[in-house]
Formats: sequence, structure tokens, C-alpha cells
Amino acid sequence: MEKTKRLYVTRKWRQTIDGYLFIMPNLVGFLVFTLFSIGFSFAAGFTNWDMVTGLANMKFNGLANFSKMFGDQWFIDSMVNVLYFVAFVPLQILVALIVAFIINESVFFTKTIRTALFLPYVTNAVIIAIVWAMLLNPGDGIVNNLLRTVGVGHPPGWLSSQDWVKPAIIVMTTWSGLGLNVILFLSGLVGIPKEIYESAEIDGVKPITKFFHITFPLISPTTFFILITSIIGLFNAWSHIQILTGGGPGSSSTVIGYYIYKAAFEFGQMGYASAMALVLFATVFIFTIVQWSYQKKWVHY
Amino acid sequence: MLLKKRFWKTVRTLIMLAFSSAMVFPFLWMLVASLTPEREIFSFPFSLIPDPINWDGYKSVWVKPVLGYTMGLYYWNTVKVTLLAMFGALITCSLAGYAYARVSFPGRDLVFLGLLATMMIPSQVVLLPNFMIYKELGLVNTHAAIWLGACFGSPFGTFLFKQYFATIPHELNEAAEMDGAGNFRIFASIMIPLAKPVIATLIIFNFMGYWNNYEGPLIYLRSPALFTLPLALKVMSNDKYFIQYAGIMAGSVSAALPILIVFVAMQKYFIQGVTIGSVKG
Repeated sequence: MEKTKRLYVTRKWRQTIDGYLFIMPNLVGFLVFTLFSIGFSFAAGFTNWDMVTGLANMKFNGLANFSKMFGDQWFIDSMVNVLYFVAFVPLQILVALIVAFIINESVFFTKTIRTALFLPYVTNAVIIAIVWAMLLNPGDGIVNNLLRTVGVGHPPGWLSSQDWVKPAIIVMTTWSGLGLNVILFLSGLVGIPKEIYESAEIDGVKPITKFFHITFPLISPTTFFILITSIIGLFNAWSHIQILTGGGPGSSSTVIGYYIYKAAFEFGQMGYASAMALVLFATVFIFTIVQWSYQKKWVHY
Repeated sequence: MLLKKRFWKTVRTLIMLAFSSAMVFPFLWMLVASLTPEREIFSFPFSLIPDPINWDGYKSVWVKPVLGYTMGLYYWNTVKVTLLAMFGALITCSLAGYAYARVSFPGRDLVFLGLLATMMIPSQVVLLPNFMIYKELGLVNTHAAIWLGACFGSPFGTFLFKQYFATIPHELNEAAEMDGAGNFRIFASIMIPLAKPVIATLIIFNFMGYWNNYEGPLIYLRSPALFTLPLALKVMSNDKYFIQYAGIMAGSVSAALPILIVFVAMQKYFIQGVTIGSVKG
């Protein structure tokens, strides 16, 4: 009895040591680069930390960063721009869903089509930006040349135009994100039992009605997931803006993620940037909570 | 009836082929432009097959130095960083995943939950402090700043491994323990060989992520000698007065080729990985 008990205790000890040993690298990274950083960021938002003067000269300045933020036109523009992009997310998702629906109904060359759709997603943001910038070149680019041939006198300035830069970006992000969303939808569609469709067909239901009353509700968990991750992604993304437009012209394409980077690494205002990052975090958090509670209304499981 | 089905299938295929061609068009144009003489790049209407095929673009980035170095160096830098990050992440995530799945230790589930929660944090929140940490460690402007983070594992990778290991039957564990094998032996000789699908999935995800990684190099690298492909391309394309469009296109094609090849070869695992992530989410 004694011996078994001792063996058991030793085993438990062994498991604990092994367990922590195994997760050590993971845990250390988590503690240092995540927990510590979040805490530091939180505190830094209330200081005047500056890249030039460094950590030694950090001083608390209360809510100064936050009041500065709400008077900063650039900050306000960045948030508004993000909301603009968010507004188009449902449309982008719908396009992906329609494409997935068509493919799911069965096509030839499925693999080839899938690869073609996915290519933009696996390519580098820099390469995508370079190619699109050339295609959208107002003077020489193919897009505008095509438009001129069909009679459009003054085609838009795209990336150099304050009014057209956001639509151009939306087309680009739809193009590059489509592959992923289509794949996600496809895997969701596969889960819908064929019998439901078959009984609908027997009842003589048209494909369009089929789509809206059967497919759409049943795919809603996937739709919800894509919606949430896309919106969160939009709040975080900034490098494609940096590459493509540098936030311009003016501030018309600056998104909050990019402005934080700019404030920190180009202007050196680390404290201010940290404060903005906190606001960003809070915004994403609230958005997510709102969406989670809203999902009960339209997501069917 | 069968004929009707085939008809509609063909219609859908045609629609999809047209749509796919539109999707792929920018890449086609990129390839064509990289082989076109400079002055004809913006000519319209453009021809699909440049005549004559001109390799100047490729020469201008592979043979002549750009920013002081040729594409070869940027390629090498990118390969180095990607491979180091990939292996570091694989080792850490598999070890951790195994522990979360099979080793019972106090606090296990809490720590795992905390790990998953971090996936929700915007990157900007940790960006600045992490930069300071690397700065204090003297690692700014080194490759380590980019791949070291990977060696601490990622929540996604750990999650994948944990899910997979959890599905392996307990009997295997028990049999090995009966033979006196410790956790590490079990991990190395049994678990890893069985985990090939997850390893493949993570390889492609990490390869793609680090090969294309732009933010890391942008923030941490200062000397052109250390640049990776994405950063090198971007800086090249900024230089509007000296730059050759054919050269940029050639550089882009060269940079995109490896990832495209890897993706096409391992498509299956990539799609698996993506769908596992979403189904559980």
C-alpha cells in the first residue's frame, strides 16, 4: 500500500515537471512577449514615452494622450476609414459565398479553379501591391486604358485620388481574400446534407429560393466566423496600406492600425501610439462582444 | 435528366473559369511584364506573349546589384529566416501541444485557455513593447528579431498539435509507459511520427507566413544586407527614378515562385489546416 502510494506521488511529480518543461518555451514566450507586453503597453499609454528621449525619460502624463487622440483629425480619419472598410465586408463575404455555392453545385476542373482562386491569398502583400499599383496607374495602367477604350473620358485616379483610393483598396482586398473565404464556405457547405436539397428540388423549388432559404441559414455559423475574423483583421491590418498608399493621399486611406505604426515608428511617439493601441483593443473587444450577442438572432446551429 | 445536369455543370464551369481567369490575370500580367522590354511594359493593347522575350528584367535584379546586393542575397536571407522560424515553431508547438494533450499537470487548462485568448489581441498592443524588448537585447537589425519569436511557439500551432494528439488513443501511451518510457521518449518515438499531417500543415502555414512576412523586417531591419524579399522588393519599387519596371516584375515573379510551388504541392494540408481552425472556432 505504502509503495503504491509513493509510486503515485512520484508519478504525479514527474508529470508536473515534464508538463512544465514541455511547455516552457511556449510559456516563457507567452509571459514575456504577451502578458508583460500587454501590461507595459497599458501603462505606456499613460506616459509621454518617446523613441528619441527613450525609456529613461518616461513620465506619467495621465489622460493627456487620450484627450490628444480625440482632437487628432488623423486619428478620427483612421477610425472612420476602418468603419468604411468594415461596411463592405458583408458584400465581400456574399461574393465568396456565391462563388462557393456555384462550385459546390459541382463543376469540372475543381482543383484548378480552387488553386486559381487561392493564388492571391498566398502571395506576398508587397507583390500584390506592386502589381496592382501598376495596373491601376492612372496614366499608363491597363485598367484605365481599358476604360478609355470603352469610352470613359476621364477614368479615376485610383490610388492617387482621395475619392477612389478606398474603393480601389476594397477591390484589392476582396481579390486577395476571396480564396480563403471560398474555401471556408466550401467546407461549411459540404456539411449541409444533400437530402435537404433533394426534397426541395422535388418540391420544385427554384435555385435562387434554395439559396436564400436553405443554404444561407444553414451556412450561418461559417458566415459568422468569417464576419468576425474579417472585421477583427481589418482593425489590425496595416502593412498593405503602408505598402500601397502610405496612408494617402492625405489621410484618405489611413487605417487605425497603420496610424499607430506611423505614430510609433515614424514620429517616435510611443506613448501616444500605445494609448491608441489600447483604444483599438477596446474597440475590437466591444465589437466582438456585440457581434457575439447579436449572433443569437440570426445564426442557426 | 443526365444531359440536363451535365449542361448546367458545364455552364457553372465556364462561369468559374472566366472568374478564375480574372482572378489570375494580375499574375499573368506580372509574368508577361517581367519578360517585356522596359519601354513596352505599359503599351496598350498588350500582347500576351512578348515578342521578343526579353530577359533584361531578370538580369537587372539577379546579376546587377540592387540596393547594393543582388536578389540572390535577399533570397538567401528569406530562406534562412523562414527555415529557422519554421523549425523553431515546430519544435516548440509540438512539445507544448503534446503536454497540453497528454500530460496532466496543475494549471494546464488555465494556461492553455490564456494562450488561446491571446489570439484575440490586436498585434499593435504588443508591437511596441516587443520592439523595446528586442532593442534592450540588442537584437534590432538582426535576423534573430524575426525568427526568434517563432521559437516561442504560436497559439495556432500549439492548438493544432493539441487537437491532433488528443485524438491518439490512450492505449499507445499506456503501453509505452508500461515499458518504462518517460514522457520525452513517448513524445519523440511515438507521437511525432504519427503527427505527420499536422506537421505538414504547420510547415506550409509557417512557410507562407514567414516567407511573405513584411511587418517584421520592416520594423526590425535597417541594413539592406539583411533584407528579406518582401522588404527588398518594396524598397526597390519606391525608387521611382532608378527603377526598372521590368526589374521589379522580375523580382516579384522570382519571389512569388517558391511559395506558389510549395502551395500547389501541399494544397491539401493548407486547406485542412484552414478548415480545422474555423470549424472549432
